[in-house]
Amino acid sequence: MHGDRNSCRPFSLTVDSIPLAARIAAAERFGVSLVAENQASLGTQSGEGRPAAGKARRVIEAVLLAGVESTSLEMALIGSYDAFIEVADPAARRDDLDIDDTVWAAASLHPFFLSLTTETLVSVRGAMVICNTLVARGILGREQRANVELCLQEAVANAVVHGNLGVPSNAKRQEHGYRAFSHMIGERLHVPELRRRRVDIFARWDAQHITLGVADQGSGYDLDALRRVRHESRRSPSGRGFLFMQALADAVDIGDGGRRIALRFSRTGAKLAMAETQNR
Amino acid sequence: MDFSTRSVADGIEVRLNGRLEFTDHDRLRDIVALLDQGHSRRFVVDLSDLAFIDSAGLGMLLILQEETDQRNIKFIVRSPKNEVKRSLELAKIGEIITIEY
Repeated sequence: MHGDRNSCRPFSLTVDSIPLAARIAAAERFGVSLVAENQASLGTQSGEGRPAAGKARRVIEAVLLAGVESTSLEMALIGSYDAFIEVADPAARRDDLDIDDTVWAAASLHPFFLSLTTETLVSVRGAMVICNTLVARGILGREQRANVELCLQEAVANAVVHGNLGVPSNAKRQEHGYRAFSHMIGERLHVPELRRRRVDIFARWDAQHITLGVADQGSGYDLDALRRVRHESRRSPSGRGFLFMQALADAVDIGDGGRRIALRFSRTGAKLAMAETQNR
Repeated sequence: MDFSTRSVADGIEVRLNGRLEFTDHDRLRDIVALLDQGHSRRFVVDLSDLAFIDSAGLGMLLILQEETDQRNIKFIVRSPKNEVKRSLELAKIGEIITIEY
Protein backbone atom coordinates (compact mmCIF):
# COMPACT_ATOMS: atom_id res chain seq x y z
CA MET A 1 0.00 0.00 0.00
CA HIS A 2 3.00 2.29 0.38
CA GLY A 3 3.09 5.05 -2.18
CA ASP A 4 -0.61 4.72 -2.96
CA ARG A 5 -2.62 7.87 -3.29
CA ASN A 6 -4.55 6.94 -0.16
CA SER A 7 -2.19 5.33 2.31
CA CYS A 8 -0.70 5.48 5.76
CA ARG A 9 2.43 4.16 7.40
CA PRO A 10 3.50 3.93 11.05
CA PHE A 11 6.75 5.79 11.58
CA SER A 12 8.83 6.01 14.77
CA LEU A 13 11.31 8.78 15.37
CA THR A 14 13.60 9.37 18.34
CA VAL A 15 13.21 12.81 19.87
CA ASP A 16 17.00 13.08 20.18
CA SER A 17 17.32 12.94 16.40
CA ILE A 18 15.49 16.28 16.11
CA PRO A 19 17.96 19.19 16.21
CA LEU A 20 17.71 21.13 19.47
CA ALA A 21 17.38 24.43 17.58
CA ALA A 22 14.21 23.13 15.91
CA ARG A 23 12.81 21.99 19.26
CA ILE A 24 13.52 25.37 20.84
CA ALA A 25 11.88 27.18 17.90
CA ALA A 26 8.84 24.89 18.14
CA ALA A 27 8.58 25.43 21.90
CA GLU A 28 8.52 29.19 21.31
CA ARG A 29 5.98 28.86 18.52
CA PHE A 30 3.64 26.77 20.66
CA GLY A 31 4.27 28.66 23.92
CA VAL A 32 5.55 25.50 25.64
CA SER A 33 8.42 25.42 28.13
CA LEU A 34 11.08 22.88 27.09
CA VAL A 35 12.36 22.83 30.67
CA ALA A 36 8.93 21.79 31.94
CA GLU A 37 8.75 19.17 29.19
CA ASN A 38 12.11 17.74 30.22
CA GLN A 39 11.06 17.68 33.87
CA ALA A 40 7.95 15.79 32.81
CA SER A 41 10.07 13.37 30.83
CA LEU A 42 12.29 12.77 33.83
CA GLY A 43 9.30 12.03 35.99
CA THR A 44 9.46 15.10 38.25
CA GLN A 45 6.14 16.30 36.91
CA SER A 46 3.55 14.19 35.23
CA GLY A 47 0.01 14.18 33.98
CA GLU A 48 -2.14 12.00 31.80
CA GLY A 49 -1.31 14.00 28.68
CA ARG A 50 2.38 13.86 29.36
CA PRO A 51 4.81 10.94 29.54
CA ALA A 52 4.17 8.79 32.59
CA ALA A 53 6.50 9.35 35.53
CA GLY A 54 9.82 7.63 35.03
CA LYS A 55 8.96 6.79 31.43
CA ALA A 56 10.61 9.48 29.39
CA ARG A 57 9.11 10.08 25.99
CA ARG A 58 12.06 9.54 23.77
CA VAL A 59 10.24 8.27 20.71
CA ILE A 60 7.44 9.80 18.67
CA GLU A 61 5.07 7.10 17.46
CA ALA A 62 3.63 8.68 14.35
CA VAL A 63 1.47 7.78 11.40
CA LEU A 64 2.33 9.28 8.03
CA LEU A 65 -0.77 9.84 5.92
CA ALA A 66 -1.52 10.61 2.28
CA GLY A 67 -4.77 11.07 0.35
CA VAL A 68 -6.62 11.91 3.54
CA GLU A 69 -10.41 12.13 3.68
CA SER A 70 -12.70 12.14 6.74
CA THR A 71 -13.18 8.34 7.01
CA SER A 72 -9.54 7.42 6.46
CA LEU A 73 -8.45 10.13 8.90
CA GLU A 74 -10.80 8.84 11.59
CA MET A 75 -9.64 5.25 10.99
CA ALA A 76 -6.00 6.35 11.31
CA LEU A 77 -6.70 8.22 14.55
CA ILE A 78 -8.23 5.14 16.19
CA GLY A 79 -4.77 3.73 16.95
CA SER A 80 -2.77 4.76 20.00
CA TYR A 81 -0.23 6.82 18.06
CA ASP A 82 0.94 10.27 19.24
CA ALA A 83 1.24 12.09 15.94
CA PHE A 84 -0.51 12.05 12.56
CA ILE A 85 1.34 13.80 9.81
CA GLU A 86 0.21 14.27 6.22
CA VAL A 87 2.95 13.80 3.65
CA ALA A 88 3.02 13.44 -0.13
CA ASP A 89 4.51 9.94 -0.02
CA PRO A 90 4.37 7.96 3.26
CA ALA A 91 6.76 5.36 1.81
CA ALA A 92 9.61 7.84 1.44
CA ARG A 93 12.70 7.71 3.66
CA ARG A 94 12.84 10.35 6.42
CA ASP A 95 15.21 12.62 4.48
CA ASP A 96 12.98 12.46 1.41
CA LEU A 97 9.72 13.24 3.21
CA ASP A 98 8.21 16.62 2.34
CA ILE A 99 8.29 17.74 5.97
CA ASP A 100 11.16 19.27 7.84
CA ASP A 101 12.40 19.19 11.43
CA THR A 102 9.94 21.90 12.51
CA VAL A 103 7.04 19.44 12.10
CA TRP A 104 8.82 16.70 14.06
CA ALA A 105 9.82 19.23 16.72
CA ALA A 106 6.18 20.32 17.06
CA ALA A 107 5.08 16.68 17.28
CA SER A 108 7.62 16.04 20.07
CA LEU A 109 5.95 18.68 22.26
CA HIS A 110 2.42 17.29 22.28
CA PRO A 111 0.92 13.95 23.32
CA PHE A 112 -1.65 14.25 20.52
CA PHE A 113 -0.64 16.05 17.35
CA LEU A 114 -1.87 16.35 13.78
CA SER A 115 -0.27 18.19 10.90
CA LEU A 116 -2.48 18.43 7.82
CA THR A 117 -2.32 20.55 4.69
CA THR A 118 -4.75 23.39 4.08
CA GLU A 119 -6.09 21.56 1.04
CA THR A 120 -7.00 18.54 3.17
CA LEU A 121 -8.58 20.56 5.97
CA VAL A 122 -10.98 22.15 3.50
CA SER A 123 -12.32 18.72 2.57
CA VAL A 124 -12.25 16.73 5.85
CA ARG A 125 -14.39 17.38 8.90
CA GLY A 126 -11.28 17.98 11.01
CA ALA A 127 -12.83 19.25 14.26
CA MET A 128 -15.49 16.54 14.24
CA VAL A 129 -13.04 13.71 13.58
CA ILE A 130 -10.59 14.93 16.23
CA CYS A 131 -13.35 15.24 18.83
CA ASN A 132 -14.65 11.75 17.95
CA THR A 133 -11.14 10.45 18.56
CA LEU A 134 -10.59 12.30 21.83
CA VAL A 135 -13.94 11.02 23.12
CA ALA A 136 -13.13 7.45 22.02
CA ARG A 137 -9.76 7.65 23.79
CA GLY A 138 -11.44 8.84 27.01
CA ILE A 139 -9.63 12.19 26.93
CA LEU A 140 -12.69 14.31 26.20
CA GLY A 141 -15.98 13.81 28.05
CA ARG A 142 -19.26 13.69 26.14
CA GLU A 143 -20.52 16.66 28.19
CA GLN A 144 -17.63 18.86 27.05
CA ARG A 145 -17.64 17.68 23.48
CA ALA A 146 -20.12 20.19 21.98
CA ASN A 147 -18.24 23.23 23.31
CA VAL A 148 -14.85 21.85 22.36
CA GLU A 149 -15.93 20.89 18.84
CA LEU A 150 -17.44 24.29 18.09
CA CYS A 151 -14.35 26.13 19.37
CA LEU A 152 -11.95 23.81 17.54
CA GLN A 153 -13.99 24.24 14.36
CA GLU A 154 -13.69 28.04 14.67
CA ALA A 155 -9.95 27.85 15.29
CA VAL A 156 -9.38 25.52 12.31
CA ALA A 157 -11.56 27.67 10.02
CA ASN A 158 -9.58 30.78 11.01
CA ALA A 159 -6.26 29.00 10.45
CA VAL A 160 -7.34 27.78 7.01
CA VAL A 161 -9.21 30.79 5.65
CA HIS A 162 -7.62 33.83 7.24
CA GLY A 163 -4.27 32.26 8.18
CA ASN A 164 -2.94 29.99 5.44
CA LEU A 165 -5.13 31.22 2.56
CA GLY A 166 -4.81 34.87 3.65
CA VAL A 167 -8.44 35.74 2.89
CA PRO A 168 -9.13 39.04 4.67
CA SER A 169 -11.74 38.88 7.40
CA ASN A 170 -13.70 41.80 5.93
CA ALA A 171 -14.15 40.01 2.58
CA LYS A 172 -17.74 39.03 3.42
CA ARG A 173 -18.83 42.42 4.68
CA GLN A 174 -19.40 44.13 1.34
CA GLU A 175 -22.56 43.69 -0.72
CA HIS A 176 -22.62 40.16 -2.18
CA GLY A 177 -19.30 39.71 -0.37
CA TYR A 178 -19.96 35.99 0.13
CA ARG A 179 -19.54 35.47 -3.61
CA ALA A 180 -16.17 37.24 -3.54
CA PHE A 181 -15.26 35.31 -0.37
CA SER A 182 -16.11 31.95 -1.88
CA HIS A 183 -14.31 32.85 -5.11
CA MET A 184 -11.22 33.98 -3.18
CA ILE A 185 -11.03 30.68 -1.25
CA GLY A 186 -11.31 28.68 -4.47
CA GLU A 187 -8.74 30.82 -6.23
CA ARG A 188 -6.20 30.60 -3.39
CA LEU A 189 -6.62 26.84 -3.13
CA HIS A 190 -5.25 26.70 -6.66
CA VAL A 191 -1.98 28.27 -5.54
CA PRO A 192 0.32 25.32 -4.64
CA GLU A 193 2.29 27.31 -2.08
CA LEU A 194 -0.90 28.21 -0.18
CA ARG A 195 -2.75 24.91 -0.38
CA ARG A 196 0.31 23.00 0.86
CA ARG A 197 0.72 25.20 3.93
CA ARG A 198 0.18 23.21 7.09
CA VAL A 199 -2.18 23.53 9.98
CA ASP A 200 -0.92 21.89 13.16
CA ILE A 201 -3.52 20.81 15.69
CA PHE A 202 -2.60 19.54 19.14
CA ALA A 203 -4.14 18.42 22.40
CA ARG A 204 -2.61 18.32 25.88
CA TRP A 205 -4.41 17.38 29.06
CA ASP A 206 -4.12 16.63 32.75
CA ALA A 207 -6.71 15.49 35.26
CA GLN A 208 -8.48 18.88 35.35
CA HIS A 209 -8.07 20.45 31.92
CA ILE A 210 -7.74 19.76 28.24
CA THR A 211 -6.05 22.27 25.95
CA LEU A 212 -6.50 22.16 22.20
CA GLY A 213 -4.46 24.33 19.92
CA VAL A 214 -4.24 25.23 16.26
CA ALA A 215 -1.23 26.80 14.53
CA ASP A 216 -1.02 27.98 10.93
CA GLN A 217 1.65 29.23 8.54
CA GLY A 218 -0.05 32.45 7.50
CA SER A 219 1.18 35.97 8.05
CA GLY A 220 -0.43 36.36 11.46
CA TYR A 221 -3.34 38.31 12.73
CA ASP A 222 -3.89 41.83 13.93
CA LEU A 223 -4.96 41.25 17.53
CA ASP A 224 -6.43 44.75 17.79
CA ALA A 225 -8.71 43.93 14.85
CA LEU A 226 -9.85 40.86 16.75
CA ARG A 227 -10.70 42.98 19.79
CA ARG A 228 -12.69 45.37 17.59
CA VAL A 229 -14.91 42.52 16.41
CA ARG A 230 -17.11 42.70 19.48
CA HIS A 231 -18.01 46.31 18.64
CA GLU A 232 -19.15 45.53 15.13
CA SER A 233 -22.69 45.31 13.89
CA ARG A 234 -24.48 42.22 15.10
CA ARG A 235 -25.83 41.87 11.56
CA SER A 236 -22.32 41.39 10.18
CA PRO A 237 -21.92 37.97 8.49
CA SER A 238 -18.48 37.44 10.07
CA GLY A 239 -16.63 37.86 13.33
CA ARG A 240 -18.56 35.51 15.63
CA GLY A 241 -15.97 32.73 15.79
CA PHE A 242 -13.77 34.50 18.31
CA LEU A 243 -16.81 35.42 20.40
CA PHE A 244 -17.80 31.73 20.50
CA MET A 245 -14.34 30.76 21.69
CA GLN A 246 -14.37 33.42 24.40
CA ALA A 247 -17.82 32.35 25.58
CA LEU A 248 -17.19 28.60 25.63
CA ALA A 249 -13.51 28.05 26.50
CA ASP A 250 -12.16 28.62 30.01
CA ALA A 251 -9.12 30.35 28.53
CA VAL A 252 -8.15 31.53 25.04
CA ASP A 253 -4.47 32.15 24.43
CA ILE A 254 -3.27 33.67 21.16
CA GLY A 255 0.43 33.60 20.36
CA ASP A 256 3.06 33.61 17.60
CA GLY A 257 1.72 36.90 16.19
CA GLY A 258 -1.80 35.51 15.83
CA ARG A 259 -0.69 32.29 14.11
CA ARG A 260 -1.44 30.10 17.11
CA ILE A 261 -4.49 29.79 19.30
CA ALA A 262 -4.80 27.55 22.35
CA LEU A 263 -8.15 26.84 24.00
CA ARG A 264 -8.39 25.45 27.49
CA PHE A 265 -11.44 23.62 28.80
CA SER A 266 -12.31 22.02 32.09
CA ARG A 267 -12.53 18.23 31.85
CA THR A 268 -14.99 18.12 34.72
CA GLY A 269 -17.67 20.64 33.74
CA ALA A 270 -18.54 22.70 30.68
CA LYS A 271 -18.32 26.50 31.07
CA LEU A 272 -21.65 26.82 29.31
CA ALA A 273 -23.55 23.58 29.54
CA MET A 274 -25.91 22.44 26.79
CA ALA A 275 -28.71 22.04 29.36
CA GLU A 276 -28.29 25.66 30.37
CA THR A 277 -29.10 26.92 26.90
CA GLN A 278 -31.81 24.36 26.25
CA ASN A 279 -33.70 25.48 29.34
CA ARG A 280 -33.71 29.15 28.43
CA MET B 1 -24.16 20.28 3.75
CA ASP B 2 -26.88 19.04 1.45
CA PHE B 3 -30.25 20.60 0.92
CA SER B 4 -33.61 19.79 -0.60
CA THR B 5 -36.31 22.24 -1.65
CA ARG B 6 -40.06 22.17 -1.95
CA SER B 7 -42.65 24.73 -2.92
CA VAL B 8 -45.17 25.68 -0.27
CA ALA B 9 -48.32 27.84 -0.57
CA ASP B 10 -46.65 31.24 -0.69
CA GLY B 11 -43.00 30.46 -1.13
CA ILE B 12 -40.13 28.02 -0.91
CA GLU B 13 -38.92 25.75 1.89
CA VAL B 14 -35.31 24.62 1.98
CA ARG B 15 -34.29 21.77 4.28
CA LEU B 16 -30.62 21.65 5.25
CA ASN B 17 -28.93 18.38 6.09
CA GLY B 18 -25.57 17.61 7.71
CA ARG B 19 -23.21 20.37 8.77
CA LEU B 20 -23.27 24.03 7.71
CA GLU B 21 -19.64 25.14 7.84
CA PHE B 22 -17.09 27.55 6.46
CA THR B 23 -16.60 25.32 3.41
CA ASP B 24 -20.24 25.65 2.31
CA HIS B 25 -20.25 29.10 0.70
CA ASP B 26 -20.63 27.56 -2.75
CA ARG B 27 -23.88 25.93 -1.66
CA LEU B 28 -25.08 29.29 -0.36
CA ARG B 29 -24.88 30.63 -3.89
CA ASP B 30 -27.21 27.82 -5.02
CA ILE B 31 -29.67 28.62 -2.23
CA VAL B 32 -29.67 32.35 -3.00
CA ALA B 33 -30.42 31.48 -6.64
CA LEU B 34 -33.72 29.93 -5.46
CA LEU B 35 -34.92 33.36 -4.38
CA ASP B 36 -35.20 34.46 -7.98
CA GLN B 37 -37.39 31.54 -9.02
CA GLY B 38 -41.08 32.45 -9.18
CA HIS B 39 -42.68 35.01 -6.91
CA SER B 40 -42.05 33.84 -3.37
CA ARG B 41 -43.35 35.79 -0.43
CA ARG B 42 -41.87 33.49 2.20
CA PHE B 43 -38.55 31.71 2.33
CA VAL B 44 -38.26 29.06 5.04
CA VAL B 45 -34.98 27.35 5.96
CA ASP B 46 -35.67 24.20 7.98
CA LEU B 47 -32.78 23.22 10.25
CA SER B 48 -34.33 20.18 11.91
CA ASP B 49 -31.92 17.81 10.10
CA LEU B 50 -28.88 20.02 10.53
CA ALA B 51 -26.41 18.51 13.02
CA PHE B 52 -23.85 21.32 13.33
CA ILE B 53 -23.39 24.97 12.45
CA ASP B 54 -20.30 27.13 12.90
CA SER B 55 -20.00 30.92 12.90
CA ALA B 56 -19.55 30.96 9.13
CA GLY B 57 -22.81 28.98 8.83
CA LEU B 58 -24.56 31.56 11.00
CA GLY B 59 -23.10 34.22 8.74
CA MET B 60 -24.74 32.44 5.79
CA LEU B 61 -28.14 32.68 7.50
CA LEU B 62 -27.56 36.42 7.94
CA ILE B 63 -26.66 36.72 4.27
CA LEU B 64 -29.94 34.95 3.39
CA GLN B 65 -31.76 37.43 5.63
CA GLU B 66 -30.16 40.30 3.71
CA GLU B 67 -30.87 38.76 0.30
CA THR B 68 -34.54 38.10 1.17
CA ASP B 69 -34.90 41.65 2.60
CA GLN B 70 -33.70 43.08 -0.70
CA ARG B 71 -36.39 41.09 -2.53
CA ASN B 72 -39.11 41.88 -0.01
CA ILE B 73 -39.44 38.20 0.93
CA LYS B 74 -40.14 37.10 4.52
CA PHE B 75 -37.27 34.92 5.84
CA ILE B 76 -37.91 32.30 8.51
CA VAL B 77 -35.51 29.84 10.11
CA ARG B 78 -37.34 26.80 11.46
CA SER B 79 -36.75 24.06 14.03
CA PRO B 80 -33.08 24.27 15.01
CA LYS B 81 -32.20 21.39 17.33
CA ASN B 82 -29.56 20.63 19.96
CA GLU B 83 -26.14 22.07 19.12
CA VAL B 84 -27.50 24.11 16.21
CA LYS B 85 -30.12 25.66 18.48
CA ARG B 86 -27.46 26.35 21.08
CA SER B 87 -25.20 28.13 18.53
CA LEU B 88 -28.08 30.29 17.30
CA GLU B 89 -28.89 31.25 20.88
CA LEU B 90 -25.30 31.94 21.78
CA ALA B 91 -24.97 34.34 18.85
CA LYS B 92 -28.42 35.84 19.58
CA ILE B 93 -29.47 35.25 15.98
CA GLY B 94 -33.11 35.31 17.09
CA GLU B 95 -32.81 39.07 17.60
CA ILE B 96 -32.15 39.52 13.88
CA ILE B 97 -33.87 36.58 12.17
CA THR B 98 -37.32 35.12 12.82
CA ILE B 99 -36.85 31.64 14.29
CA GLU B 100 -39.78 29.23 14.63
CA TYR B 101 -39.06 26.52 17.22
